[in-house]
Amino acid sequence: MSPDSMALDGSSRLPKIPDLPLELITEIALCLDWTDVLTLRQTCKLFHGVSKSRPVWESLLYRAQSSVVIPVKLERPIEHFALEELEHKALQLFTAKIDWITNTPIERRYSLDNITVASSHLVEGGRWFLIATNKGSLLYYDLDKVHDNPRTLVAGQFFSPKQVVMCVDRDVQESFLTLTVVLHYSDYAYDSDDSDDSDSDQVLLNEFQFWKVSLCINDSGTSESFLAASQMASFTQSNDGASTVCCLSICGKQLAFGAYYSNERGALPYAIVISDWTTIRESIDSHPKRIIRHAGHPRYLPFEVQLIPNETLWISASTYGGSTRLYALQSIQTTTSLPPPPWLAPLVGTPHIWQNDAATRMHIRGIASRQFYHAPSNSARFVLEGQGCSWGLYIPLDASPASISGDNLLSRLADHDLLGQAYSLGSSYHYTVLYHWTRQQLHFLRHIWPDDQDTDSLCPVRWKTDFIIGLEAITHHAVDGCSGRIVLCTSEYFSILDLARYTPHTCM
Amino acid sequence: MVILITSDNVKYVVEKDVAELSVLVKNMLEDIGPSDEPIPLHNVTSTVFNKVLEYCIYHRNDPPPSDDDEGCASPLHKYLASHICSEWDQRFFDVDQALLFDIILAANYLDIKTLLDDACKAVAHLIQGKSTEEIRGIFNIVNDFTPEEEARVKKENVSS
Repeated sequence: MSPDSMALDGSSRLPKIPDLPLELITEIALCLDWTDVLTLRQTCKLFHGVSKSRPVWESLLYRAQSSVVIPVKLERPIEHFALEELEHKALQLFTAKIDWITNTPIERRYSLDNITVASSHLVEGGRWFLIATNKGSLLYYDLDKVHDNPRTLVAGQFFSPKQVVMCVDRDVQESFLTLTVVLHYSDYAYDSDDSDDSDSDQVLLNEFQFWKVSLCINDSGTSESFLAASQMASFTQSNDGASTVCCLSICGKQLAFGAYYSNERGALPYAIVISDWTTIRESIDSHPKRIIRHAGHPRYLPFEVQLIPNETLWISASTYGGSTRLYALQSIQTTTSLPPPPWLAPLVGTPHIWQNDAATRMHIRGIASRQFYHAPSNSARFVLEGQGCSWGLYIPLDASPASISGDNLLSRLADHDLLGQAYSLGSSYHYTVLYHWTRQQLHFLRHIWPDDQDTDSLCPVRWKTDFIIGLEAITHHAVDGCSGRIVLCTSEYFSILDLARYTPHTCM
Repeated sequence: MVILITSDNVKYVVEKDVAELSVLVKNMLEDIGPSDEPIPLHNVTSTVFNKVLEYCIYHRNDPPPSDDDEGCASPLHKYLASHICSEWDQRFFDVDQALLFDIILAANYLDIKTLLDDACKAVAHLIQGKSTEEIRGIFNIVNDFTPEEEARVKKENVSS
């Protein structure tokens, strides 16, 4: 409508939105985008009230989590969010998109008093940061709070430090955040009298533990949420031969891990073991399992493994000499024995369904992101870190594993010219965060997936200045694309950078 | 045929399927049973009812709104639907604001969900992408914040 038509309107009363009943004004507000709701809020008291109403933000949060390529699975149903949380969470999700991320991320620090971080995991959604210590405890922080002290999920189990590997799987069927956390603990006693014979190293501990970690809400009026853990399973691996576990992946009932297996020759052959962890009692040794032997020299390890929901397994050698491969679990033989030493059998024994030997040329170093489920194409995807570029791996889930083939599984998502001076801190679906150590800057490398619709607002490299942690001090790091949150751990503290708009609660 | 009488005593003879797009009228017809008695619409003037009728006749063959069952209509669907607006609808809602608001009130009173949704969308369309000052201008809104309050709201918006 033009202003003229208003002026020419013969009616004596001036039209006013505020004359409408509140419920109808709310109906109008439900049709608005978040930016318009925030603008409307500043016009007058009536609209200020409407812009803070529950229906408006429930609708916006719903849209924020679903109107993206990779839908965000919230940690709890929308009706369990307090009004203020609805707005904070919706704004965070909207502004975590690359076109909205801030140029001045606010840094917050959490102290790590006397906690030795052995392994860490930033839970999808950016709120919960899990830490496994070398003494066998599992701790977490609530990063939505300005300050939070570490809270204990599992108390310390060991007096002496152990090696720890952790992996986390989310049960997306549950409406409240539910995780399976798998931890592998190992420890060795080195025989110093006979240093020539490394085989006399004694394995003291070689144990897998499975914990169910779930979100709980305190219903006594405060609606404070917290995590709780209960143990689901634990089992050991034989002390003879079984050695360091260096990578883990868990997907539903399947567990996959890569480990060195020592032998009398002192070599360290490597194998990947896949098994249904829910049926293992006490020891995995004689339990049915699938084994992939790998001929790589230990120097080229560790490998990375990733279980895909369609019963396939992706593995990668992280440096030259290796390759990226996809295996169909069904085509790997089941055995009840321990991984056999590889020289007793032909080295190339396990059929894979797809392989790309160009890892050398592509400088693929490993997995940089969590696994994403891309609904429009029904595929699993993740981002691989390469030197000077990011790669996207695409695995169709509707095709039978045997029919997966072709060169289009890997695509180049982004390039940069930082001449090897950049170190990847992690990736979301849409970008990789790089740390340039000589300039001490953060760079954002925007990904372009082959089927991306919206590639107009290209910003291949974005960068932020004034970042202060020295690279050598960073021990663990993570990027969560949903919340636009980066976590950087040092030995004394960890830092949070919020790229999206978020006001942490002082009390909640 | 159904006879409807608006608040300014104008009589309309409307086909039953068109009249029953209004849940209010539908319920009243069910209550009184088969009868030729006119149905009074106390809160609607003929000026507004002309528009409502125009909308109902044009949309009489539309599939019924899917959100009869509240559980089925997700907010996203509602929102996505809000961005699909036919040319006819756009022209239909290109009226002065007084009439637009009256249509909303009438749609609400007569309980015609699709008309209410579409009219609300039309108002939302006037707000989209506008500045605070522009919105105040468009809707004759008086800024009733004290300067302190206004500053606080602005600050809230930036930091949230």
